[in-house]
Amino acid sequence: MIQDLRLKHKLILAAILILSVLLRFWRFGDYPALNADEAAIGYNAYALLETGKDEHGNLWPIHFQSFNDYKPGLYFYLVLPFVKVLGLNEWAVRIPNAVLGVLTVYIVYFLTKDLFPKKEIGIWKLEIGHFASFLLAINPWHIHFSRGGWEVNTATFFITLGIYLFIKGQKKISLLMLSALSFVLTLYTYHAARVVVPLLVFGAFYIYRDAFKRNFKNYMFAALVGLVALLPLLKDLTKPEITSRAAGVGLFADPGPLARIDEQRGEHGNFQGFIPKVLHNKAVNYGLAFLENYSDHFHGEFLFLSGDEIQRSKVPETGQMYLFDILFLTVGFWAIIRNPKGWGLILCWLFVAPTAAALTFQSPHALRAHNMVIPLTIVSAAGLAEIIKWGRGFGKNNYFLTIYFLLLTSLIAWQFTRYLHMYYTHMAKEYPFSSQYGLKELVSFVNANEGKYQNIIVTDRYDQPYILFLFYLKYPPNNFQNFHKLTQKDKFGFSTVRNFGKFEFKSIAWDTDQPINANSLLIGTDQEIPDVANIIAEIYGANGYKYFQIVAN
Amino acid sequence: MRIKFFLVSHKWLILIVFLAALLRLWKLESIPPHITPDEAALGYNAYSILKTTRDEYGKFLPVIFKSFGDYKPGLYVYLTVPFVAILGLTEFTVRLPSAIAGVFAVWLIFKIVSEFFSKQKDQQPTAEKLHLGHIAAFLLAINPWHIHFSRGAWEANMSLTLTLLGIYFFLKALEKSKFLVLSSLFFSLTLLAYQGAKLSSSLVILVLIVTFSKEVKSWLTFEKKLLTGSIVVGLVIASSVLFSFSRGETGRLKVFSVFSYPRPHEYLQNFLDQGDEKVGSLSYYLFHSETLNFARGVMGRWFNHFSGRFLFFEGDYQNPRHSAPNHGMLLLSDLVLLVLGIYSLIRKKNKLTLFTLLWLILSPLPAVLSRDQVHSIRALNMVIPLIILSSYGFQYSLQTFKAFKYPRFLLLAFYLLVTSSFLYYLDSYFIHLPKHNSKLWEYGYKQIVETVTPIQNRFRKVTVQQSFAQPYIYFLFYQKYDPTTYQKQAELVESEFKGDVGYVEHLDNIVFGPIDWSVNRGDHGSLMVGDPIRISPEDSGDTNLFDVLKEINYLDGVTAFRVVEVK
Repeated sequence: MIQDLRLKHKLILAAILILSVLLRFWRFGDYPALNADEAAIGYNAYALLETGKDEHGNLWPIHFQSFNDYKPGLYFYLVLPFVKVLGLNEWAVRIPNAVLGVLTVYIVYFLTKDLFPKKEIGIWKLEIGHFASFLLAINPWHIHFSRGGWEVNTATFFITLGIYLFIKGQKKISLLMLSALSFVLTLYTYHAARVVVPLLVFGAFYIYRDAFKRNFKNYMFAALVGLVALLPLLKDLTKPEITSRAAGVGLFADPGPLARIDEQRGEHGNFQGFIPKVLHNKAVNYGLAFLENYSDHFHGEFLFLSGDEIQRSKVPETGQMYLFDILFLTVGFWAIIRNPKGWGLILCWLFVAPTAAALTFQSPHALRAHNMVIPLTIVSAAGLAEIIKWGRGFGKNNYFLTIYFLLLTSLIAWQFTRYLHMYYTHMAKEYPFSSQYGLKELVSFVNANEGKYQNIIVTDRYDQPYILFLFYLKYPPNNFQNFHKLTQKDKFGFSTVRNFGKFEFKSIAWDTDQPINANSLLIGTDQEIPDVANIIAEIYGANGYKYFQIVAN
Repeated sequence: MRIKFFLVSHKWLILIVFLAALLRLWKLESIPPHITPDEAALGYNAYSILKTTRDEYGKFLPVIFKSFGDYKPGLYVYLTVPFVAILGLTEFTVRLPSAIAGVFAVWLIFKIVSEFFSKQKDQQPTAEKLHLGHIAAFLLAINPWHIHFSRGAWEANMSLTLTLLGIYFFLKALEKSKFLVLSSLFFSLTLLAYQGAKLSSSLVILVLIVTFSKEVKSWLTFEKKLLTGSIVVGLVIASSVLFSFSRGETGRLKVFSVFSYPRPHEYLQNFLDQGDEKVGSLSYYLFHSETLNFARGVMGRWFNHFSGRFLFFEGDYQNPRHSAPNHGMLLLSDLVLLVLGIYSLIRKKNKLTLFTLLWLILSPLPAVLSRDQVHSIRALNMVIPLIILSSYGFQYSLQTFKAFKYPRFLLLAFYLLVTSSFLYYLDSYFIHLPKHNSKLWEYGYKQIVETVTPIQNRFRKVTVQQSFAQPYIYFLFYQKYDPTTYQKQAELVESEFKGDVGYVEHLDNIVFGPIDWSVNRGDHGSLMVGDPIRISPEDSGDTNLFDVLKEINYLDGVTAFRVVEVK
């Protein structure tokens, strides 16, 4: 019987993993379209492979200069072997992340199993781990950022792995060292992790302080390993251009709280008085802004109804989690409060997770607070387990039991299919500018026809077209590295490249550009190109939206 | 001797009530900085009733007052009458009943919490029982949400206190069933005090019935007569308000309901076209139905009422008049207290926890079902379960600190947190609220009346710019206009939008209407009152043609109104 049960559990876990693979790899190469950041990851990996330097000629960087936003580099290096094997294409850029997404689902099972090993739920005697990995497999927040080259998803993977190994490593020093490495790797992967992970590790030490005291040497040794692994990063972080990005999106970049100080002191009628100075100063106003941002991440509207405000990070009319998670999380927290044993680390994680996002001024932020999804899912799983246990309340009355589980299953199924429908049918059409749709089609047209023209002028209306051109043209890095110039940073802190080879990227001013560019291709948007022009092709994205009109001049 | 004993045994409660009174009565006449049109209307109607037993439209002792066409249930007016009789018609008197009700509520929450535990003597030691009631009373006394609506003639606050009375007597009735009549009486009075009470009071009664289902069931069998009697008493008192449903005086309900605002057709069509879907198809019903859309809207509003933004950081961000500037509906320290409170409450299991949780979940409903994203008046009832929850958190902190290494230090930090949060609120309310945006409070109309009244008869015509602020009511209020005279000329012009408020356009030689300066600048021998956009300083500077008699400024120094004579 036990043998039978084990087999069943294995099969269930296998099914969950297959489901998570399907959800992460289905139409994986083309939906959503590659965005500029992903193209940058791919092209920089390509440039490294070809020349040993990144697109701007930097040697094996830890932070990639890219659009002058100095992206943390680990994910680039994960992509590297795939570009080597598969060539420069969407799959190569996205595979590592999707694989790590599936692995996160897998680890969450073991993590939860380790924390809550009781096998007691339902007729198959499942563990909370099964529910946690299932809920994560179908979770919108997690699926969204597993599909594409989102560094944050990789960071979340390493955080989860680090936590799991930390728990496992209470007795085994090798695992503890791996845990330390895993945590350090997150810092190489994503900015937000640099705030969250230290806090989380601190919390973990506090919660497991008994084990810490017992095996003090082990922990110290692991910490040392981590510290050594951290050194190259610390050295890199001393460069001012790298930290400026963090300052650009940071809380202090928002002038609102600052302006409010003046307003508030003014209402006191005495700018220099003691009371106005104590009550209205930077510490108070930015502190309040931080707390408000932080609380935004627990707002139901964000979590369950509409999700992030940034179109690239969201699916229409869908929250970061499902509607049923409202129920599961409520019951989950209820159950946890009644019996909090073993939940310390998960709760600590949940409360620490949004801190990095709250330190920036766009809030709530699904990307920067992404690692919230793991503790939330585990709590949700505890709720689902509890709800299934309630089914026992019906005793042997099969009729009610069937209805009860039928309702529960259809609730999940309904929400799940609605999400898929919104994702695959509506997302690209509702948010046509959320990713660089149409660029691939454009480049393939240009590639076929460029020989006939002297110059090719492309509108910069959509994000960073140059990098997508480099990517899809597989433009030789040698020809690019030394022959381009990055522009000054714009007000958001980004730079771009205006031209390389025969390509130029600028907004098209028809009346001035048309006369002076004979024998050129002018590629602009609907608004930029007048109808009377000699339009030789119109480029539609896979979502049916008309992005470009191509004029042969 | 008995008085002395009472004072000693209730010293904490007396102190708390005194604190509550101080916070609710201090500078009541001048903070908020100006009375709202509704306050003026309530006050003037009370004055009118006192002098003539009729309302401003000459209706004899109405239960519902027509006012601006919004049909206000009249209990607040009648409660104001004695104060007007004694103290005269002033800002203070209009606000006083609500302030007193607010102080009373602080005492009542103590009684209610204690009453819950008097039924469970076996579960709660006496010391703890006293504690929770006192804590609740204290936290309500210093609560921003409750202070805000106690300071001003807010009918919802009156209704809340009546609700608490209803709850109190319901609890009393569990011991002595006769009290049920009183409970019913007070619940039905809430309907006479406040429009929104129909829903909010029903919810409270529902919560009480669920919490005490066993007791209610026993009433159904053993106390049929009493139960019927109580219900009849309630229905009779509330009848005129309940019947107004059918008389079409509730048009505003439709304007305010969330269900009156479905998705725009084009939006839906666009969305459906993306997937070649049609209204009525299976995928429409599964994924895009209007019901689901409304459900999402309702859930969103419900979440908004529990958001940090609303409760702690910005307050009622859709109606800035309903909270102190840059401050939430609660104290910042409640952020901690509520989290601990939830923790402590869920680990306990008694009638009060059930009652609190149920009421907390349901209390935002009247606001949630309305079009606004948040609405602190319609959700005012939330404040009571929130306070009880905070009290649990407060009590829990005091208890658990003892187990820590440095209890004194923790205790000190805790009290510092509560005190500094409270001081921050006091600053926000008493210093910033009057100056921050006095326009919100319709500041300036009192000054207009004071300027115009002495010189009113020198002019053929006085034109006052018409607005939602209902300028006429300020003239009635501050001139203490003779009600008998006014009743004869009272005429409300209905709004073109059904269900919206109307306007009064004439009062003796005063015309309330739009000002078009290009035309009105030629009205020789008249006095014009309007904002600087309508009567621009540039175009009224010629002293041969115009005489600027007064410029009225908001409290932040910006010009509110200009009083200009056209020579």
